[in-house]
Amino acid sequence: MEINEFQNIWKAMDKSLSNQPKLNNHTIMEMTKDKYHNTINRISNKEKIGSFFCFIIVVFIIYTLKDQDTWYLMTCAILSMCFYIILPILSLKSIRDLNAINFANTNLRDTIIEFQKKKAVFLKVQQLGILLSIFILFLFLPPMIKTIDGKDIFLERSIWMWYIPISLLLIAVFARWGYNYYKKTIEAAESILKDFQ
Amino acid sequence: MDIEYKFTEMIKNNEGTIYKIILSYTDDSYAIQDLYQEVVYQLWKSFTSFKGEAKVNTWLYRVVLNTVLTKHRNDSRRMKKKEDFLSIKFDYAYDHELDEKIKKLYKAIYTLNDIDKAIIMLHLESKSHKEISEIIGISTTNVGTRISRIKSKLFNKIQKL
Repeated sequence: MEINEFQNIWKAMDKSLSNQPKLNNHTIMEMTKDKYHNTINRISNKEKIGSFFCFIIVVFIIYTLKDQDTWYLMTCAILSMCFYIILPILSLKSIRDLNAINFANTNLRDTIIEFQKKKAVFLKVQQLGILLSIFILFLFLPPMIKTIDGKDIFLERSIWMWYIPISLLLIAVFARWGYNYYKKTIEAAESILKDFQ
Repeated sequence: MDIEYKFTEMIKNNEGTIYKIILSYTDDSYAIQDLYQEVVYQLWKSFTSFKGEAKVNTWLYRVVLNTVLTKHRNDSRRMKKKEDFLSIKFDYAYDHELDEKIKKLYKAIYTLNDIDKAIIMLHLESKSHKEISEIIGISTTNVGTRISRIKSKLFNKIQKL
């Protein structure tokens, strides 16, 4: 096959595709709506649900602040509240940045570089979120038990005996998983950039 | 003229081009539909701000390729990972001989890396080196060199098929 033949085949495909039933105007416009669930929107929806739960927890913490009768329980409650406010904001912002890339104004090389940079930020935020959410368990548990059960768990050694090792194990597992996923994504990004050379 | 009407007409006129590009990166029917919708969504996002500084064609290729290569990059269903290229079904082909030729061409294209695929597709669409350079983001000299290299890869591959 010669290159001209390649081009003829390529053009002939247009003809064969023209035999296909055409999309109607309504279907095309439906595809332009935000309700269409692309990959990023799917992630974004999960994050929005997660953020909603964080918001409920913040309301719960504010409502129960009066129960925290020692400085350390109060500190735990306030720090937990800060985490539950900051983390969803960071996460939603990184998704918004990823979704805001304008595919029309830049060439393929610049788009891929920009996309990979923003994706790296998004993944870092996700990793940070996973690690911090386990850390938040340390902070959130004492004020929650105080509210529900009236107990100060800083004075209950038995709970910490199992709670600390389990939490550390979880941190190790998630950190390793997060790191491997991040490494794989960065390697994939590097491989496509090599293709430009 | 109504902007939605203009947009839908533009999509209908370029439906074949969009499909041909997407098919070069995947043959999974779900992924094809997913990408097609994503491409339409991205085209619409920039359609209102598109004032014709670039040619409609250049703008369209840019958006389609940018979308396909960023959104589909890490998809596990990617064609590249499949071993059996014979499973491709070009159910839109109207002619058996043409169907075979299309299959051969696609099988050869699938063996290229993502950037080379984009370059050769634009070349097959009779784009000039300058236009390809603007869409891809590499120099015109580099485009020329790469096209010669890709052609010889395609010839070798097709001869073996």
